[in-house]
Amino acid sequence: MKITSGPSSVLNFLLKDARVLAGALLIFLILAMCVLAPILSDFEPLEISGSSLLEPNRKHPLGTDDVGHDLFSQLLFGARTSALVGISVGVTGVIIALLMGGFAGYRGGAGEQIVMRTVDVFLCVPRFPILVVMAAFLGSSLINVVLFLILFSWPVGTRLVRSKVLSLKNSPLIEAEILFGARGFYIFSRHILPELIPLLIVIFVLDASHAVLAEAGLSFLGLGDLLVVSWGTILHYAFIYPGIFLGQAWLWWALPPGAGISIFVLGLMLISSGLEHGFNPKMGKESKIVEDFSNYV
Amino acid sequence: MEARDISRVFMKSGKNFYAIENVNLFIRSGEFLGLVGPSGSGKTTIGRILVGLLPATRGKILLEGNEICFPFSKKVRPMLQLVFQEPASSLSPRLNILDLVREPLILNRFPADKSKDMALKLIYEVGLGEEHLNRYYWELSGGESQRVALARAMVLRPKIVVLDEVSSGLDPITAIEISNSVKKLSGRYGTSIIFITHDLGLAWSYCERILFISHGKISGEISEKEKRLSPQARKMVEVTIKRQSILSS
Amino acid sequence: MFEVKNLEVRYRDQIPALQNLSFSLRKGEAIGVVGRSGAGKTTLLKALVRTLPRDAKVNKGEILYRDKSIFKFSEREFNRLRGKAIGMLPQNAQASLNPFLKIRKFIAEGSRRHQGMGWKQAKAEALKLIELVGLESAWSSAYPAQLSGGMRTRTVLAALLVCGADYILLDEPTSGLDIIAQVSLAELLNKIRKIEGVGMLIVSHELPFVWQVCDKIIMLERGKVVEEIERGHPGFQSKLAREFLESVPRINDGNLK
Repeated sequence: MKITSGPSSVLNFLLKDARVLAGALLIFLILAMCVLAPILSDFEPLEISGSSLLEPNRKHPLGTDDVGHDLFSQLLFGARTSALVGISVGVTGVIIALLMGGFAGYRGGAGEQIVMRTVDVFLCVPRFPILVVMAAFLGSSLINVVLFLILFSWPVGTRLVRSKVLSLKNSPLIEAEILFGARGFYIFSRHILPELIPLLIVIFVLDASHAVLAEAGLSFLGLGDLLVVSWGTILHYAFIYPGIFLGQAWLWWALPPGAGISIFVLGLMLISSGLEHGFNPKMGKESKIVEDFSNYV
Repeated sequence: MEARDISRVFMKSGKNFYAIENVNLFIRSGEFLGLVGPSGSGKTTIGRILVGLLPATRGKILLEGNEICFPFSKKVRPMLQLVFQEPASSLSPRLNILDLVREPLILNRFPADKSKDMALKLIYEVGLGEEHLNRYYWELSGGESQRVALARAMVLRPKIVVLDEVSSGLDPITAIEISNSVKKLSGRYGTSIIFITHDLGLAWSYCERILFISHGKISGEISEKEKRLSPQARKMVEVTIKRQSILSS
Repeated sequence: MFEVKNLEVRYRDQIPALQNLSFSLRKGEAIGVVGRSGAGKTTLLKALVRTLPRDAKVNKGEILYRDKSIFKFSEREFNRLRGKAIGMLPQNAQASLNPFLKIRKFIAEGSRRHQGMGWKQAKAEALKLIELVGLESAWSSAYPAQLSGGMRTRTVLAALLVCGADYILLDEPTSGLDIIAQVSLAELLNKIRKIEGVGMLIVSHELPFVWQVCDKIIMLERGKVVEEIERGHPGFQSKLAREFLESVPRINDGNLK
């Protein structure tokens, strides 16, 4: 039995939405940078390839930093790190939110209480300060940073998924399925999961953008993995350099990575905002991402 | 089916609140039973308890002499079905009409071709046609999507179908059409029907027996042989008669 | 006086939702509009209060309020009319109530705004109206969520009266009401009509209810007027009216079968 409506027509609709297109374009730009990094740059990012503080020229499109690294290749390879962090945290966040939130909402009982109280605890903790403290004490390799970020982004998503699952669970649609003898797994995969997808996309965007910003922030403070080039580390060194604002150096040193971070997050936000409008009930098929309790009252 | 001393209690501001209290009812095979009462009287709760969507806090339910306990077993579930007041909320927006009616069969492991035939047969029997098969419920009118819900409920040949205020959102003409379809199907398949409504007149036209319910308790019964009514139920009957005489003039 | 002349409303250039509709409503009069779902009843109401969705256009015809076309009013001027002169009771009365205010306060606010009364006076007036619509004074300190559907309808009626509405439009006021509540509401509407002299337009698919209240019934089918039935004149000659009549279930003498 095919589930007909769904993907193809929705995709068509979405591709016409200006926001989604704009956001997708920006993200595509960033991803292109990541993928084409080795091809586009002539030098290694951590290789001293020229004299310090060169202005942008043919050999170094963005000039060099105070030690002589090529800023263009730093930008491109930095994109990789940021994208990697963002996507890995986003994807893991979604998976955990789906499993934990789905379990809590669907099964309920003691398990739900355990999950939700844990979520409450984590939500009380201020994310960034703890991140800083952990980085300072437990070491700041990239893996650690990613793990810390995952640790602090799963609660938000879990809570959102659980509340949506709860509201769906009590809808007459699910009741009708129960009447026909459908069992837990069937109901969850066929009827609840498809309704969750818009929400999951939003969760991915939220987690990914938070992660990118947090990683950049950590690196900027010097607490990230300084062996790996990321936009945050570029900014870190840029702002350490005392004369950064004296000349024009900031234009090609600090501005590009800052812009890169902004564009990445903006792109993600645009996609999610456009999706929210694309999945609206006027089409009659998809459910709103933001909770709409009036459906179930 | 027989329900003995069913009660459902829940807590409200610290006190015990009876949604329904000591309800006794029975329904015979193929019977068309009406359950009439105002909103909030507990009739929807009874309907849900009888099909196993809600557990009764107290009391027993027997099906063909055997007691069944909540949650009902996989064998029992398909025999008891319920049609909801709002078809829109109980139908999946992702499946077309044919798949919607087939779904219960496929869930119960009917082979693909057989399920298609059975579904088609029922779709035509409720008055829908070939042009509806590929549509989605939100493309249909209220009356038509209610028919889809009805077909879905009947496709497993249940023993009892509860209709929960299915005529409430519909205009009177459509309500009569749907009720006619229900009567026809029930006659053909021998299904017992529990017709929950607040419209006494509608129930009167179709039911062999009517139970009145008010504030969670059964307040009266009317059938060919018996006539036991509480004052309020009596008033309802009088008002209904009065109203039809106004129109006759 | 409300006058509708040859009104035609179309959605996105498709088949007209309303066609060639004409009637006039005076203060103290009650007109019913009866039809099946999708006949155009809701479209008519929305047109009268100028809340038609953007993709609906009034192609032809006029709606006149006191001899002035309602489309000639500016949005601001018409806003003042809504509530003060023309009140609407939507199908879901709850939507018109503020869930955070006790109903007496809610109605009293209307007094203050529209008649400029002080608090004390407004509250007393509100209490009077609450009793007028048949609610016991004990309920005046209740929140909307604590009331039943029928009681909420009465509350909104009181609120409309307090604003001094000359005309009240009712959208399916009988939904969710059992027959006893329907008769009671019909009696209330008749009482209000007599005492306050408001004009009423009732849109419903419950023919017996409409018959109890209205002097004139317009039968609407797919946007067109199929028949106009007036009290005291022979009627129910169209197929639609006949179908509606027949669909009123009868219980004859009170004995089943």
